Amino acid sequence: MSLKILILPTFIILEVILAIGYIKPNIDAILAKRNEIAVAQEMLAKVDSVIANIQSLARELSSRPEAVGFVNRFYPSALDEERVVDMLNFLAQQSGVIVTDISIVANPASRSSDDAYNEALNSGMTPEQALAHAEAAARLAPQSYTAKASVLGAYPNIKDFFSRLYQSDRIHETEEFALAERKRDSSKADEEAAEGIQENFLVGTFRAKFPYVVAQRISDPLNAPLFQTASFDWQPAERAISFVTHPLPPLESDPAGRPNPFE
Amino acid sequence: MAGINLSQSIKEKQELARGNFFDRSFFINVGVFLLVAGVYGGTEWYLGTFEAKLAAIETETAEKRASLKSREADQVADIQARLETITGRLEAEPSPEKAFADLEQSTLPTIRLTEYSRRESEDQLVIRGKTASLRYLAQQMLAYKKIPQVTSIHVETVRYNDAGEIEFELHLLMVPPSDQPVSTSTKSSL
Repeated sequence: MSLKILILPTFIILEVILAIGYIKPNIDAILAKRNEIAVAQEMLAKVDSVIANIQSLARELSSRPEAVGFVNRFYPSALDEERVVDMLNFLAQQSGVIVTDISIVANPASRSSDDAYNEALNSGMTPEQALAHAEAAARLAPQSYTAKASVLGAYPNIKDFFSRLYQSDRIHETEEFALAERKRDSSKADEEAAEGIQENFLVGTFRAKFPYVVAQRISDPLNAPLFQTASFDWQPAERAISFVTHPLPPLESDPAGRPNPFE
Repeated sequence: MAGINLSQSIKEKQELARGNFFDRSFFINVGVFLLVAGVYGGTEWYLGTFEAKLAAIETETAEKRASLKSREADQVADIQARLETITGRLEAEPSPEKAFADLEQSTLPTIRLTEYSRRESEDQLVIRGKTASLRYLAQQMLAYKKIPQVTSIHVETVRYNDAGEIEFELHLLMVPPSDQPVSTSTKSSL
């Protein structure tokens, strides 16, 4: 009979232990897992949406090759000094000015790899990771060269030359444009007249930085604002296309080959 | 009644006790315990299915995330980055056409310019010229001062040349192009 008295409390104790020690934590874990699943499903939906957006954007890009080509010409991915030389010559001819001097100097990188390395170290990366990060950052950083051109021409022609450069299809950062009276040498007056250099000719100087940058890679497409929409904003490209009124004809080299290059 | 034995034998007592031990309340207790144990088992199973479902979603997400870094994504991002730079540059680029138009409008007939030089990095304009009188020079400075983009004018040099003309050099400090309000397609002045 005494054993029977213990049965009820024993069962109650076991049930309480099961309920508090096992069932309650499981229910809490289920609730937490439900939230985790909801978050994971949201993330999956976001990834699906970003994948769909990337495909849609890539389709859009391939449907507008002329705009993509324009952007790549306007802001190229490689050093293109030959194009700038050709552009200065072409626009000078169109404006009726004479190019007297062109100099091109490469600019040092705007941000050194040391800065990127230190920044990466400070953000908690290991030295090896920071080095890789700095190398990648240096590879992807924009580079530039500065071109300076001097021209001779009448005031309206030099003005036209500067305007054509301003609206040319090559991105540049104008550092200086100047006009000045030409120093006349009376002993060379005949020679200059024979070359078409008139009395009223001025000296125009244009100096600008021409940037270029290697093809960029996206590090985190999932959170990039660009991929949160399915359509590409063509307005900036269209504005740039309409801004350029003096595109440069494509530069093609003549057939090469000489039996004696010094003759 | 004297011959009746009211006491129970030990065997009877044990049978009675066993009968009482496995009575209804015992089975109710066992039933409740099994129910609780069943609930526990159910939660364990449910938790297991949730964990499996979560693992499946996470695996699928990881696989899809890996495919996000594609050539197409890089190409789109590259064009977008270039366009952003182009847009920023076009907005910041000074228009020589506008600058010369302002120069022509603000230069007095009594002044002849010999040099005009604009350096964007210094937001400074250097103007050199010749004139017949200091009064004309002062009037010219006043005319340049009226240009909204000019913040201050500084006289660098004024001297008479051999021909008796006044040669001057003015430095005009300009509002940086980035601080100028965008009202038309072309920016900047002078």
